[in-house]
Amino acid sequence: MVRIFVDDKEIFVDEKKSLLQGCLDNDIYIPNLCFLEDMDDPPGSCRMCFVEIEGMSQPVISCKIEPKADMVVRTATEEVIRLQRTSLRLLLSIHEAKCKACPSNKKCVLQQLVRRLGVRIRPRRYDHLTRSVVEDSPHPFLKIVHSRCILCGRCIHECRKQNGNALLTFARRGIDTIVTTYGEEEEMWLTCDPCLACIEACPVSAILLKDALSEETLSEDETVQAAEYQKQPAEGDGDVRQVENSTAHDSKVKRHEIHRISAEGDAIEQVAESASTDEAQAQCGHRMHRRR
Amino acid sequence: MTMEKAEKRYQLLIDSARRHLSNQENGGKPMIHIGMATCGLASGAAATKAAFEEALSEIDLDVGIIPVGCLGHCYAEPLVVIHNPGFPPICYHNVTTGKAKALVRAFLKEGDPLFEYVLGAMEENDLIPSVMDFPRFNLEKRVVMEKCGLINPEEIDGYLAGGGYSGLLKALKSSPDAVIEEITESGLRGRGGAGFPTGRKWRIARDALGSHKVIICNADEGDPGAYMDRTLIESNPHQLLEGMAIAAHAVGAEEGIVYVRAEYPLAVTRMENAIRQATASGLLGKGILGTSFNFECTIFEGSGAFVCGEETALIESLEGNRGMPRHRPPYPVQCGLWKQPTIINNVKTLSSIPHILNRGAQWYKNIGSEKSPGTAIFSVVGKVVHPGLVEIAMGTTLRTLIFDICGGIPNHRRFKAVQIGGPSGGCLPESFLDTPIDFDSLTKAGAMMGSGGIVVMDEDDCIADVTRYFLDFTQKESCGKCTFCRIGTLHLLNALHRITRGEGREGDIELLQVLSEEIKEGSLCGLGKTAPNPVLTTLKYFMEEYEAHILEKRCPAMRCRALTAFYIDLELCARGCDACVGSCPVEAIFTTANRKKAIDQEKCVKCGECVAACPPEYDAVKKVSPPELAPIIERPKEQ
Ligand SMILES: Cc1cc2nc3c(=O)[nH]c(=O)nc-3n(C[C@H](O)[C@H](O)[C@H](O)COP(=O)(O)O)c2cc1C
Ligand code: SF4
Ligand code: SF4
Ligand code: FES
Repeated sequence: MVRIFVDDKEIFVDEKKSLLQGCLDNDIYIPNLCFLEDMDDPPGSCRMCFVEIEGMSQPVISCKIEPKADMVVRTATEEVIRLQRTSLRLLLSIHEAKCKACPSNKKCVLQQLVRRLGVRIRPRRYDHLTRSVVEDSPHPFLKIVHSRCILCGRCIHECRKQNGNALLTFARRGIDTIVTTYGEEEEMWLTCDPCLACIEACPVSAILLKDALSEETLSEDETVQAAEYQKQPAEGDGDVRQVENSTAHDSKVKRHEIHRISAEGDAIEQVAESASTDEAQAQCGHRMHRRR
Repeated sequence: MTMEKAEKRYQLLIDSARRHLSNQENGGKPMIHIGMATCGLASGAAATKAAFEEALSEIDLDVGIIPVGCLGHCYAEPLVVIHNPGFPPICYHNVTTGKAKALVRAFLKEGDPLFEYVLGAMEENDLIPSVMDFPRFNLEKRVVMEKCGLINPEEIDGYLAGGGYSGLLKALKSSPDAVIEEITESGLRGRGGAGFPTGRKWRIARDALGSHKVIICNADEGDPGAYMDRTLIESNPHQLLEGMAIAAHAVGAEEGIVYVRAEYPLAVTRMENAIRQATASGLLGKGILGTSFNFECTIFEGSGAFVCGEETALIESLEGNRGMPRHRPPYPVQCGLWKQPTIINNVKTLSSIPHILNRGAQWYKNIGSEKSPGTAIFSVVGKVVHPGLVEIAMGTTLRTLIFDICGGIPNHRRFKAVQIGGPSGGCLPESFLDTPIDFDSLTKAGAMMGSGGIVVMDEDDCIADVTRYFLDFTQKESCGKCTFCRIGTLHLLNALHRITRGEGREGDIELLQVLSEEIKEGSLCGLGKTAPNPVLTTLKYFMEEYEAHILEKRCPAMRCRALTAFYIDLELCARGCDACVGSCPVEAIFTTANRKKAIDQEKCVKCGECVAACPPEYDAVKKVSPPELAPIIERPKEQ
């Protein structure tokens, strides 16, 4: 444990964990999207978790900083907020913010950040961009909505954690980068059906069960096939699989329900839109004011 | 004891190489050297070589033909140097098959050197002016490119005969620490772009803990228009291998990897060949020159993404992952390939090493400027008379480089700007021509050394359009990992697209300015951190051009199609002439009531064909910007 100062507050953090984690452990929130506590080597890709550290000329991302004794950290300087706002606006400029129809509505990390940082859910500063790939699903029962995905990579991390080898991966590059699944269909059934960790991990409901939003999309044929498949014992350790599969089926139903329930709440979109910059600053930026 | 043995073995190698070469020349028979690097081959060097062979066999002359690398004079390829006893070696430019046949008949058979084809003699003499009298040669300072174009890159003998690998021998004779000391003392800075002191990098690697350190040569060279590294490998691969072996000895590595772009097939072949020959000669592999030093070298063909030249992405790609950069620190010298301390150096950096060991740190320090010693190699392209590869002492001014060495701007046009450092560099105006070329001065001016690509622009180039071109490149090459670069560069590019299409909006300049600065600050790797440089420098130095595009819908260079128009000046147009009519691909030119010609602006696609077709004595087709300046002429009804 080392002692550091964050926004003039003395805290003690584990020097083996990142500065971001240290702050979160002490109930100091720093916006972050691509970070999860159990990552060995967080990607540092979302560019949200900026802080200023005394002695460093520019803001740095806190998920990649090792805390050092007596470090003096500021989490909400003008510079920091400016970069965080731009990062968020950029993400939103290519994010299809149809909040009413989104299962994440009201618990979405983007909505939270929009309010915290005082930007609009549809930023005026940048034209809206559309992804070249909107939806594609080589997966038998998972759907990835690229127009929602913020490429945080949490799903890939969770998948790797659950299954050793991720069945989800980034594909293409640059602005066309997407998250996609790969592998043989059989492998996907065997691995994904009992798992679905990615759905849980996604902060913006960009990964869903194909039948999560509209029951009709899964044709009767496919439903039957899916059921059939589960009945067939897998080679060798068939019994175990069957048990796993049946529990997975249950959990699938449960998640399904969560999605349906949340899809009903739709008020937040207006809330998010109407939140004026001033209000938002009042909520999130008291530190900023104090600095000025 | 072992050192004496090593020295003996080395001497044997040199002797045999020299014997080999003189056997080849067979007691003074004529020799033809043909530049056969990619630039020469692209200009038809293979056909030239075939023509020489054919003509020689016809008259049954015993003449040796040796393929060599690139002299750097790419504007004059195919280049041929003929060593004919009784004459100084003579360099011929643009040697077509016809010229090749003529040279065999006239020069080799009858002793007439055909002065009209001569570029110059390769050494001082009384007969023919030497190439050294040209600024293109004598203002250059050749160190790393010294042997390029003079030796056969496919045989180790040429390199050895000139004292090649003596730097390695010297390194083996001294301690690794002494080698690092020498490199540090020389002040050598990395030529891969950032200019990090090489000695310091090696020191960190030497001190780092690791059982399997690796030397990687970065030959990914993805900048559009840059081809220095390719040329160095194609023209003198052993120089690079020697540098790598010295680096390995210095930091305690036994493995080397040359990371070459897969789009460089000739460089790959020549490198493979060089590794094979050096290994066969005991200069690579186990127990080099009989000492206990082992160094194996392999080639890895890169996967073709610009970002894979970034050192952490390069390592990812070597490990078989997506070529995406990682956060630094840790730096590769601390934790690189397979988590081992890894040295990554550019081709030019490593190729400088043998020279420093041979001639000493002090000698190297005396070349170039105080903080940036040594030479820099640039590929100069764009609006210059003599484009090509140039090696100059650091500290040379941009003016000398562009106007003296490269011959200035062709066609009496005016210089406008120079983009230095490739797509990540900056665009500097005329007032910066006296800036010395070195790491710190360029960075101060907002540009950077980068990989060494220089593009010269004249008054006909539109700054906004050129900026759009560079941004288009970086935006497409963004790996997509981090938010600022992935999405931000596209917003920049879209704004530039709008501006050059005449759809620029009021807030666009501010958007470019603010977002550029934020992308620089917020991006993860060097690509994103430098991608906005062309935007920021052009906004700083050429704001009036942006404003003309946005506020007046005018392109000052008359480049942006949407902002220009062609019309025919009726005063100048010759009645009855119809030279332009057939040239128009869309039949936009019609005959006016008084039998002159005019352009239908609705139909015109602004290709400019009619400008070329109009006879110069009339010169009646005019180009204007904004397009409203073109007078509207009605098509006569009864047509
Ligand atoms: C986007 C990007 C592309 C790069 N491409 C190259 C390259 O093609 N060749 C190169 O030597 N260095 C390249 N670099 C620089 C390398 O990351 C690294 O700094 C360099 O190879 C170190 O060698 P040096 O110390 O000899 O300069 C690139 C850097 C970035 C950010
Ligand atoms: S699908 Fe969800 S969890 Fe996966 S990268 Fe996209 S936003 Fe992140
Ligand atoms: S700056 Fe660009 S190239 Fe570099 S990691 Fe980010 S997205 Fe990839
Ligand atoms: S949380 Fe640190 S960069 Fe994404």
